[in-house]
Amino acid sequence: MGKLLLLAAPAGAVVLGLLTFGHGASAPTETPRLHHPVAVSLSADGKRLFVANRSGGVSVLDIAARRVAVETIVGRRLADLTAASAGQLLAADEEAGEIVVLTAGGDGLKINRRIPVAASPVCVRSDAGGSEWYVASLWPRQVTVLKKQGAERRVVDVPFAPRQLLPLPGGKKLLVADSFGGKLAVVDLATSKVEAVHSLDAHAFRGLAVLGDTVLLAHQVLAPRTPTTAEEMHWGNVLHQALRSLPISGLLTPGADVLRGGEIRPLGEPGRGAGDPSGLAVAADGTAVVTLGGVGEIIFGTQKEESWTRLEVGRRPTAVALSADGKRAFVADTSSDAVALVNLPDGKVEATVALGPQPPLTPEERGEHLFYDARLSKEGWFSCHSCHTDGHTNGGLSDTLSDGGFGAPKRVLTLLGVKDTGPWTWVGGSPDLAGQVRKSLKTTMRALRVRDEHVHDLTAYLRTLTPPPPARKADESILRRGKEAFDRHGCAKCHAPPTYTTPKTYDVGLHDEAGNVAFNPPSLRGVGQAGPYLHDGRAATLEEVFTRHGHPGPSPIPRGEVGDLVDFLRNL
Amino acid sequence: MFRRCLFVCLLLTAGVAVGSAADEKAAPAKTEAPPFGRLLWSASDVILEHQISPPSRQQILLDGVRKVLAKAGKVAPGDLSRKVSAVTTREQFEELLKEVGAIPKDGAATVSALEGALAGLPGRPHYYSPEHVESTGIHENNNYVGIGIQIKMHDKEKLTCIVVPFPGGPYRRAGGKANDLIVEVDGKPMAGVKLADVVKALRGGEGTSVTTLVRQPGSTETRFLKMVREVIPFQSAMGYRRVSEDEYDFHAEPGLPVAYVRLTGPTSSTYHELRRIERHLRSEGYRALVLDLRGTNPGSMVHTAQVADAFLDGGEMWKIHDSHGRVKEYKADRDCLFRDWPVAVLVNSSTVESAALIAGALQDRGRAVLVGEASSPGGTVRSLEPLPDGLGGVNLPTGIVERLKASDRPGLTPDHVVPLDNKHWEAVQTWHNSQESPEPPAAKAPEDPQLAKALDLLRDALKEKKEKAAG
Repeated sequence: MGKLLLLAAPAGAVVLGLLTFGHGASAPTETPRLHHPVAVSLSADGKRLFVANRSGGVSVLDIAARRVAVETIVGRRLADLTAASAGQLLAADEEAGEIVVLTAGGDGLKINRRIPVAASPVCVRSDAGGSEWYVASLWPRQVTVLKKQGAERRVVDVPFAPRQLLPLPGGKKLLVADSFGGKLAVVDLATSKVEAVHSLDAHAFRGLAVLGDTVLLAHQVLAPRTPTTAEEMHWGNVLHQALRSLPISGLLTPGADVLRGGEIRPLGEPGRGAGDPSGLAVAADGTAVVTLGGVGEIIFGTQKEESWTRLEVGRRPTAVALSADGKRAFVADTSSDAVALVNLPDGKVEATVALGPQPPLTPEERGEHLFYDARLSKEGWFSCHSCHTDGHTNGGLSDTLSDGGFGAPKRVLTLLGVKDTGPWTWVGGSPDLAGQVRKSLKTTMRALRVRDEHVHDLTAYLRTLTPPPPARKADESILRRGKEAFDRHGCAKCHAPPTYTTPKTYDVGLHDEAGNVAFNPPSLRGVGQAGPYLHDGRAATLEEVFTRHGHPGPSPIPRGEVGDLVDFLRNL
Repeated sequence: MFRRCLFVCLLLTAGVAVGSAADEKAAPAKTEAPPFGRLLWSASDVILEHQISPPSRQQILLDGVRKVLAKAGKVAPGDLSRKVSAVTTREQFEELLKEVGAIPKDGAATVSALEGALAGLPGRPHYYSPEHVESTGIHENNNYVGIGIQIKMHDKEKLTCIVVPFPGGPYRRAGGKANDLIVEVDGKPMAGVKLADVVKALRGGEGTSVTTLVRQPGSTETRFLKMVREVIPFQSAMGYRRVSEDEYDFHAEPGLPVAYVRLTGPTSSTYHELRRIERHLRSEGYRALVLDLRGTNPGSMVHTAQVADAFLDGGEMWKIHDSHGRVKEYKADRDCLFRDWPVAVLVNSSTVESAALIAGALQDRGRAVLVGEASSPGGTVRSLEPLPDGLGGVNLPTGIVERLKASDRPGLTPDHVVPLDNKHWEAVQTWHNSQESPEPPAAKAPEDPQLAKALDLLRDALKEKKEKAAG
């Protein structure tokens, strides 16, 4: 990607190869294309809203005029945007593996620099002074600390795939939240070390903010032992959404119980789920605003208020920024390519500003929208994404009918790379993917009506998902030894390349609580990113699969070979 | 939940009673009742599959045949035992029943024979009719669909009378009042119609509408009320004293920051109710809890575990060993209601099944002290296993409980034994029941030494906590 430029190109200009242009997005002649807004940041004077689009552009909204002034293409696939020092913006380009440093001036944006970071940066934050920047790289499981505006860097390995970051007050610690599961890490910025890792019974942290001496976290909670019946869903017993507060003192004290002194506020209520909290902002007066991506709403209120206000704002609101006085919210709608301007005291959407005309959607694109739509489920409690977080897995257990009955909860499987891994489900009961999608809609999500076109589009979307990359590339010699171990122990009999699965079921000496003994081998592509392991998550790590559980039996793999084998698996 | 205080006992009692009345009277039910042989054979399948230490098939069948013959006043043939032993298929068993003349005369006799046969077996399996299975499911799932009324027959007017229009329910919202007499349902006159059939006319699926024509007793002025049937949630967690239609006072002793919460039974909504109650209690400044599990009805294992989990901060709760030798571990998640509050649980001989599991787990984990009387030895869990083809179900012992801490006896042993004689216990129960009706109780709270002891313990615990905090 060239270090290019900007601005005020003629209306209708589009992205050409690697060149980047800006263009007037509100112009009627603009070519329809998808934007997928994913992050918003308000200018210091509160007059403009910067909207990062997954399609690579940053749209600049003139708030008073309620229109897009300009869109500047700054990268390939933006995942986040944040304000640094005055007039400076940082965009995370997930596909390019770069942080793009932008300057806002006039009506447009200027690209200053591109800073390469570890692959798949999905979150970028700045310290209060704007000179130290923090980047979460999803699949490499790394946080990069860029000091002096990127002149120096430190890389911190974290024990999970991170997404959201939150610099804690005082400027000495950084909170890192799990993208899929329920882990939190505290990084000491002076030593660049992970100081503490906390594990919560929660998943998909999407929205972190500081409120007073607490941290607020928006997330989901999946109950492993509650069957996915319509009745249990109604009361929020299967999966529910929550806004949790944790005292910062507990997070910062090694060995302290982080939950002590915390509070948890359910966001849904019986009969009305709050599918997929996906963004959070807190106003100076303590009003918290959470976007509910799955049900197209925002929910807001203060800690003291018993019941919070819910407001429909679009199709899939995923990010929110607040005006300085906390009275207006600006909400990005990823599915509708629009930004909603919300008056909070009035509880009204003042305007919805389109980022540009949308083209007709392909089945895959429609399927993606459906994947994140909790309204497909009974009462809006969950979407596919709620457990298969971003197509991957939350690592939790769920008691669905996918194994033929209730009572034996199974680990949620990743859907990344799912198309080649039939038959589906742990017991291999679904020979066709569309059939399994239909069954999940019916018996897991308890859709009142399953529409054929939904099944078709969702299946089309699932077919686009590819396995995640390994966190680290292992040394060639280790990989060779690992592959030899893989071959020597006959792993390929069940996990046959190139998909590293086979369309059969096998008894490998394990049984579930319902007595099932024959399981379909999950594909091993991306397996290093998909723990915990085995059907009920009994193995916390890949090593444990062999050392503690003797997989695949009957004779255990010699301890000395496990290390190489695991490294090989992590690189699949 | 505080806004929708409804009364489970009243309505369910009415529902069950009405259901069985309808069964006995309605002619089609007789012809549709499945044959005894098929029912007993299916029941024996379920028993052999799920029951802990089940009796043999031959014993189940033999008891069944004897029961039917005895009911009919017939003498069992001398070689009955041998004949039953030779049976290996359902068809053979049905042949045998014909041969010895063991055919109940109608549906009611079939059910009664089946109930009798099962009740005498080890583990006392209990047959549930399809209607009973349905009402159990409705109760557990807390998804009763209706218009939110409790009714009875008005003796003078010979019309069905509304006893309670539940607060927040469709009937009350449509303008219905207590004492309304139901003149018509959807245009059909209800004069002289049996209660069971009025119920049938009023019942329907969620979202369907029904119109009633009603009047007050002694009046000729009629009103049309149109409403949509909806799920009427029932409360399973209650405070000490009802102060209004939609509010409880949780103080058992005024001024003491100890909340009293009683569970009528774990249902699908209990965890949610407890969450709501906890928020309310914290905002009101309560700092300790009495959980009354005396007289708590059994619920499903899922709901039992949800409730125990609600009080526990992670860790194991109990294990269940099933009839196949499989073990299920029940663990709590780390989220915990009433965190750091001292808790006392009231128990007595009626604290069994679900309530015993919850109380036992809280005791074993050191989360609560148990106050009251020992409960009868249990140690097994029962569940309702369905019979195929909608023939009903069998409630039977399906698991053995392994508590976290092994004890000498399977029942609960209180940390503080406080006896309560029958007379006082009845007064306490009457008090409990009166909190479930919509009107605040007129009566004075009864003497309850078990509760008083719990309050004393918690008062001390709070004092100790305060002193500790002070230094």
